[in-house]
Amino acid sequence: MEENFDALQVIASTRGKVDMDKAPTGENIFLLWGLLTSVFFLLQFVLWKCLHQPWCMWVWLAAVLIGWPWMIVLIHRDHDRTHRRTHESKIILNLWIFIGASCAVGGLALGFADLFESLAMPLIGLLIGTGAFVSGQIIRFRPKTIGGIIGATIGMLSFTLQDDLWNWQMLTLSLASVAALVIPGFLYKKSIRNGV
Amino acid sequence: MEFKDLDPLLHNELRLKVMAALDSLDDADFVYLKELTKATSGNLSVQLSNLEEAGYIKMYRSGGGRSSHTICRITDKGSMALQHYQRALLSYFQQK
Repeated sequence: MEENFDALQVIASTRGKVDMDKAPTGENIFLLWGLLTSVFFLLQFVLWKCLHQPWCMWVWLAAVLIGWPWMIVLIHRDHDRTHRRTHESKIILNLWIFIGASCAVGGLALGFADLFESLAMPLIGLLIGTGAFVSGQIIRFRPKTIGGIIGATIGMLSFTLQDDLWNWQMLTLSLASVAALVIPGFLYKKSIRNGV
Repeated sequence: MEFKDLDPLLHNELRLKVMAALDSLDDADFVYLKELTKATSGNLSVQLSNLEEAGYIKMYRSGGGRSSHTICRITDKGSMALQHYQRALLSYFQQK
């Protein structure tokens, strides 16, 4: 019976050790996509409003081409640093892959249905805000949760910018990205550096 | 009084530590498991192979050249085996 008791202790203490040194990761990935989305929404706005370029949506292809390989490098760097991957980080990664794919497919579908101008941007804002909110809940980082709520609210408010005002949705979405991803991303990075 | 049989593969301290760690993570590499278990490279390598042969874990190599490392991940079969093992142990105490 002594051996059995030890076995249960081995399981409990190993699980405890693993939980204790679950180092937070992904702070650079949040920042990468936060900065990319906010800059590209701004760029899209400038191309549309100031330079009157109808192809401005396609700049997102460049965002994906820059962001995706960069993210893969960051994931590998995180893994090399911590030598392990947690369930939480995998859930967050899959969540954002799903959100990214939904934005791309949803944007194209709404574009073909001639609803892009009225619906696409607010829905993308809502998705980004929701993703940030859920990520904040998973990593238990309140600024990210609050940022997600603010981002989703900005996304919903941009529904009111219709007809001639629709292009301002791009600017509000840039603001939503800053609120949901960039500011919490910097705060998260700072808290990790300070060991909080 | 009837006692459930304990899985002989898991009834070993090092293998049990590895399984408990991998069950709490999505994956972990050899370096991390070595640090966590304080085992020697040779011993850990042998025990990981035993677990892989039983289908309890999957091992694959990531990266290339000098940065290459072995990554381990628990399988569904391994996770179930660990759960059964824990339940069997707990049942010993309940029947005692």
